[in-house]
Amino acid sequence: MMKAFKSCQKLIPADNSCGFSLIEVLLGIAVFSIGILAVSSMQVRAINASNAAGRSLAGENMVVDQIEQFKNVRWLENDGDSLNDDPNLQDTDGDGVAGLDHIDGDADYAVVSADGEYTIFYNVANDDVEPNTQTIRMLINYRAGGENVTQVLTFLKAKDV
Amino acid sequence: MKRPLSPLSNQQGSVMVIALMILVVVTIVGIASMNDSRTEQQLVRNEAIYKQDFYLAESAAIEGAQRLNNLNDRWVLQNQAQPWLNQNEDNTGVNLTDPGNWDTGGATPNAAVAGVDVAGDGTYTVVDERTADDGSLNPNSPQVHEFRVLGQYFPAGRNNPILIEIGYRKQF
Repeated sequence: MMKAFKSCQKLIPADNSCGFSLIEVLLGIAVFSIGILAVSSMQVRAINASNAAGRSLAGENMVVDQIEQFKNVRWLENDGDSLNDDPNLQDTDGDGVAGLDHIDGDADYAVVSADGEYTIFYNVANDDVEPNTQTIRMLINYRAGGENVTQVLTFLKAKDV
Repeated sequence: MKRPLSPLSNQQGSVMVIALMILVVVTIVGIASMNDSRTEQQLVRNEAIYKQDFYLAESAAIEGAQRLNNLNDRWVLQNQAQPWLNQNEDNTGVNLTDPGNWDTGGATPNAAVAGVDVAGDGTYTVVDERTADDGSLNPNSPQVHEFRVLGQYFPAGRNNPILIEIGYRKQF
């Protein structure tokens, strides 16, 4: 190596830092950029993961919001034969407790969020665990981190509670 | 070469060393942010599990309260023993606010399994606390009872149960 830098040393005899050559800078840049590539891909993964976490949380909160609203609506005659029926809490396909896990076309209801990213399917079963109760299972469907996620929340709505 | 080359004054290759040092620092920052977002994801996952458990515990309590309400008859309340319906702890000597004392299947059950979750990890019990202060003592006029409805959800694999308590007042 030293031979290559002889001319440089003749020019500035007192200076020993003339090893700072173009080749060294290029090599340094090459190694550095390969490393930076790896780190930045790690950074991208981290951003994606926290994005997915944020989306999950948003979805969860959407379902909880919906549940709390349903809990607070007045109990109506959910027997499917009168004008007093709550249009949002009916076992529309009449499949009762067997249809609680249904999604897509089989679900009793499907609600799409304003941004179109989340779909909440929910199913109602009347008087399954006890007369004057409704079992409601909500399944929220969304994409997070490149995969399809479905989360489930079940709750009970009662006439006198 | 005018003077011997000491290893300390030889600056050849310094760019590589500096580049590698910066890389190490940046890598540490990258790993830290990876850890950060992994923790965040775990947090959200746990939160989701907690919400599911919470609503199942609440549903168990609501089921108990509705079942109590469905009795709808003082005679049934007083004469027809319901395993999940208990006198207050002064009479039974069992502290039912502790779900560890609940028994859904033994010789003297004092709690019931909630139907809302199929696995049967939710349970509830109802405690008849007392006749309310404004309740009448006349056996033929309506009495107001104060109940304490407790619902619990405790599936396998969780460290602690979720316990929901509802106060329920009903005139019989």
